[in-house]
Amino acid sequence: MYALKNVYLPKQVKITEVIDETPDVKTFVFDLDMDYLHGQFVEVSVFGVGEMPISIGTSPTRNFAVSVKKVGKVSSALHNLKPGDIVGIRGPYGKGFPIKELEGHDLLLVGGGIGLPPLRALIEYVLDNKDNFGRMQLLYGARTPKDLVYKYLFPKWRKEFDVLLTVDYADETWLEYEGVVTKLFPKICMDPKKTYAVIVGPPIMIKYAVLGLVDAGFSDDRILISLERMMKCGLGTCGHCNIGKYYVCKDGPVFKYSQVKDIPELF
Amino acid sequence: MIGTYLLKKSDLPKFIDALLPEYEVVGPKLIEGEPIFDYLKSGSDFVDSYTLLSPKEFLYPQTEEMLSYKKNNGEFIFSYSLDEKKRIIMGVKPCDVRGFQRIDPVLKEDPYYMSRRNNTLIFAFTCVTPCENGFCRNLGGPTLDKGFDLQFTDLGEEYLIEVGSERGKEIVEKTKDYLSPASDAHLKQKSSIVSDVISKLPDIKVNGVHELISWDDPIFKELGEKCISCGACNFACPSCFCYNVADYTLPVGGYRERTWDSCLLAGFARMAADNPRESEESRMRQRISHKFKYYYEVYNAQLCTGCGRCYAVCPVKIDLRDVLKHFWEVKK
Repeated sequence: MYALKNVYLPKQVKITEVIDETPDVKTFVFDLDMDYLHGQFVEVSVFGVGEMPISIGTSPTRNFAVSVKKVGKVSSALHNLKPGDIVGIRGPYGKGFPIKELEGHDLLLVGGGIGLPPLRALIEYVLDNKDNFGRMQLLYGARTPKDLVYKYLFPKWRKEFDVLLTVDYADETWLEYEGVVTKLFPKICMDPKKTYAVIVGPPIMIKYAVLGLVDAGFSDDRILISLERMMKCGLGTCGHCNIGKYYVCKDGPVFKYSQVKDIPELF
Repeated sequence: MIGTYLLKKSDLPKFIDALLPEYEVVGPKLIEGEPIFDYLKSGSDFVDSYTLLSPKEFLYPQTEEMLSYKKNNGEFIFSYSLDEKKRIIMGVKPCDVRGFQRIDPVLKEDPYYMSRRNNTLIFAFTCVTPCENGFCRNLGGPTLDKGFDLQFTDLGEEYLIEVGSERGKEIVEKTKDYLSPASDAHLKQKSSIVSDVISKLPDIKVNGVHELISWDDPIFKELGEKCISCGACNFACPSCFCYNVADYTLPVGGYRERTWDSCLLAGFARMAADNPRESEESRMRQRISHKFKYYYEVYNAQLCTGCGRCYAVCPVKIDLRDVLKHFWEVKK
């Protein structure tokens, strides 16, 4: 009677490259042609194990890749896969960074741990469209020097914009900052009136970064955060990621702080 | 209304039998003495009765396969099926029909739900007596204006049948041997029955309650301490729609299955690294706020139809009637 499209059916996608980023993070490059926006995510299936939401870690102007930290069942299974293996991909889902709104502004990016991949997608887009954006500054922190992802990209990035790195626990080789990422805030060299701040990382980091930026004079609608919640469907149907009137998968994962600041369970 | 008819109550089994060759007919029947929605084998199986559980599972099964796959030369071959059987659910109470109406906008692109929904006719039954735990008075009431193909109202010796859709009209065409035209007097009789039921239902205010629910309300802690996180309320609820998805392997390939989920279970919001709703209090707040605030803010309706089933099945007797009354008390 009705030809119904099956929105839950994944596409079969081949892994073309696996890059070891840290002891527990790998980047998977896929042979996939997909239209998406920075900040969106996909549902990745490891068949027989399950499906998980993962932020897209590259700009639509580059090859499609995701970076995954080995934490749970599906991410651990994904870590066992090799180039040539097949995964399922559905998406892209959610609202990404409001790129049109960001154009013409300076960008302050604050990342923690595995929060850097979605920021990388934005950074690459900005670098590929330099004329449309102002200045950019990245503050990135991780637990230890070993836990920083995309270390090989930093030298290239530093030729283009200011990159400040910090770790919670330094070792003898570490020559950069030590402490949580908000400790870098005095080094912010951006004018809050001309800048959008984008924060991606663990909830506790987002919380203190938001408070710090509000203190530094950023208005609530100039602070963008990317939230993480349990998700199954990616389409606003399964109910798991519901916070307040929003579904993080459908209405987010990127929110303006002004949209969600009254939700007490935000962080 | 497209038309109104009368059906003698003694002709109801024959009316159902006339539809059985073409449709799967689901309705309350006695199973070990208990009225439960199930497939009717013959018209005489049907009992016009309140049921402890709604017929939600016939549009949205508790467990269903979303897809299965086999591995072949390194590639996967997917398959899935949509249930497109022509089906009638009859004896559905207005609260349960409204449950489907609440789920509709959420699952509007879900092919599994929508294929059943599109192929299922709803024969609603007006409540002619108030049920024990119902509080639908301000959540729609004991009869429907829309959302049915046929609506039956027990007038004593006969059923008044209201036709609510083109598909309902086709059913009338197929069963016309048993039907006779109804008059305004019968509609008036229905109105007075409905008014009488409404007057006997508790007058629990719901409209505007979304503005009264505050995060810090101590009732969430109180209910959280009482709740044993069994999820029975979610399963009995005609409007709860949350589901979980899990993959399973078979000797060759595997399958992906979804099951109803419950926001009161400890793992509902748990991620690999963190659980933002670890306490019973936080989960109780989510359930109540989703039903009476969050859903309302998006769809302009409560995610509750006042059926009282959650109370009926709750082992510790958490009562939404008391919860709603509490919010109005707090306002004073």
